[in-house]
Amino acid sequence: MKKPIRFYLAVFGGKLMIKLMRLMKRNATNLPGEASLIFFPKLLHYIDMPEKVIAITGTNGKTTVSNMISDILEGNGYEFISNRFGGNVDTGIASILLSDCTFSGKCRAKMAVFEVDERSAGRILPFVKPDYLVCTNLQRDSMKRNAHTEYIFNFLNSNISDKTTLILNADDIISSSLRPENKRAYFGIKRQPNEESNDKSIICDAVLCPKCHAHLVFDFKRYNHIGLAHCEKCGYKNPTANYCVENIDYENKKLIINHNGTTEEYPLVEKRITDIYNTSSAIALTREFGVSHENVVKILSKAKIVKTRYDNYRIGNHEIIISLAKGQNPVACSGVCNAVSKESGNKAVIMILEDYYDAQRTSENLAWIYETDFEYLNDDSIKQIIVGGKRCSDYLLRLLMAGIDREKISICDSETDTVSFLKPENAEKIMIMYDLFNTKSLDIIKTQLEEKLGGKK
Amino acid sequence: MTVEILYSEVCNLFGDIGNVRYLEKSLPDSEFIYTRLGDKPYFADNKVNLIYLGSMSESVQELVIKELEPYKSKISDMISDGTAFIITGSGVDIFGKSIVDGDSGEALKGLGIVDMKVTRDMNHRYSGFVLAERDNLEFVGFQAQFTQSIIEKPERRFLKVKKGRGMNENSDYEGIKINNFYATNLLGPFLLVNPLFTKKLLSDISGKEIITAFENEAVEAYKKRIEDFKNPSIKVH
Repeated sequence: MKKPIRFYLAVFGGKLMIKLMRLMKRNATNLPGEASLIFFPKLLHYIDMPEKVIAITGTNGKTTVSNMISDILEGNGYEFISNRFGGNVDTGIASILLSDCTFSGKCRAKMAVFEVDERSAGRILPFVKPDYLVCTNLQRDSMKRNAHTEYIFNFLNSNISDKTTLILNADDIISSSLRPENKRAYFGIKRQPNEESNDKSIICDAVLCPKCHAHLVFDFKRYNHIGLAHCEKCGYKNPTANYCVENIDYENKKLIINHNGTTEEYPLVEKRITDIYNTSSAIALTREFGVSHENVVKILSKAKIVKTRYDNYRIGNHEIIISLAKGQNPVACSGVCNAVSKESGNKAVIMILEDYYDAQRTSENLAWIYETDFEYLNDDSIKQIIVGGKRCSDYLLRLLMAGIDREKISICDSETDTVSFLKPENAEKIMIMYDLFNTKSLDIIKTQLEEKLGGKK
Repeated sequence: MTVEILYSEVCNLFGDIGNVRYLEKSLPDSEFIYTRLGDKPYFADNKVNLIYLGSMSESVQELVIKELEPYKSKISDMISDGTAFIITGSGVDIFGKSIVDGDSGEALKGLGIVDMKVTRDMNHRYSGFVLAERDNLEFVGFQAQFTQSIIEKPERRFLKVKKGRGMNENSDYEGIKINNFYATNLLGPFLLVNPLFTKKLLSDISGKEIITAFENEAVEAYKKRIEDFKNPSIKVH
């Protein structure tokens, strides 16, 4: 393909910028790509791609899955470029490619693993044309960016190449129907013994049959629309998983997976169901890619979920559990509320969920809190809920609407005042739910807890 | 009172269901009818006092238009008779003459109950907040939409926008009001974030003073939001 002179200038400029930023010890994760794309918007069209590209997208779990896949491949000797420490939008991917390519725009790396923001897929997938694409799930997310699930589905569906092999979630009747003509493998989790169907979620994005629009009948709901459904009118139903978690052995920390009729055993990296889905998708991708069962196990047995998303430790007699509950993402936040309610013992909850970026210039749209299942927190074992932030009065109203006793709720305008309201004598566990961009306040809260509860163990 | 909630299983995109829960808690003695897509609306054969319809996706808009098409005269009669309607978010669009796709020019025929033209551009999503007013009462709300609308008859415009965008980028009006028919693109928990309006509306249609659920807490949050929205350093989006 003949490349225009502007392309070469964009590559040269981008590479120069990366060099300079590195000299200044700054992260060149987005800016060089952004500048080059502004100068030459067709950059990704002309830049050569590695021979093999794996991409990971979806509403929830894509960062965790990308990290797991990268770890498994890296641990098995594969060499590749990735945006693991960079942006998952077009500017981040352009930066990585610019950093790797020659001045003629030829990629040096033979392989790439890219996490792709689903909303940016239109600016990435048509050019990157991945050989494999994992879609973890499609669920409701920020209404400002992602509108609704149907919109993201259509958007993704129209930007996936015919040649891409899809790794899809069999338990998600929405994302599992992406590009039905493409080669594919499904992962999923069988309903576990004594696992109750969860009909409590406010959000269910799969109400109507994607084929005939009749009401779907759910045989089992794990959360939101994740589960098994069928259409009584046309027979449409969830596909069968090629990588099906048959048994979650919490005691021995093992996952028993039925891989197309063969039983395989894998380590249970984390016990939360969303992390088991993440692990299953990483297993499905790497196995389809050609990594052996033993070699996947070898790496997963050492894997851990990154501490910025989940952490637990003890201070004196209290266990502190910190969970990322992405603000404006009602499904992820509901999952954390559910997990909080399921923790054993008496608990106090500190919530700092406001969007730091929105709060800096505008007033956050809090409609999402009415599609988040705060009802899970209406539980006898939760003795206190403290909400900190400018919008605390809205959260108070929401928690009251969830049926939570007014006496249990404390609110304050500043996130970092929350600890002063804590009554530690009433709880064995202190659970902190925080938004992705609230880590500064989180760090202060952690220090305050150490001071209030005694030394960290 | 009888309250009919239309298609809440699919018309709950942006927390609109909060309105339904608020109505339930504020009107504990009322009868609530939940009509699912495919069911004959209860209002077709029975007297109802209040109908609620929330936000929906583009494909569901088509289904709901088909569903309500046989009842559009009935709906018009009910509006004339003073039956209360609360329509939030993208639920509004279906009541106009058509929804025109900005890209293809294709038009989806609406119910035609209101003189409103809706244009949809799936490549451009507008988000922001709105501070508005009607009859000396301040309203707050949020928009996140692909559409822009024009309401031809000024007397049918619901709110005068003081900060933020109206129903289109050049307008300072938001929503539709015909008698007790209130329809607004402001999405999600509109009734919760505007508790004084909700109280007035429910009191008017029930003929007695209604104490809405968690009234003090809701008013406190409403006042804080108004203060926030009025702050010149707080941008609309």
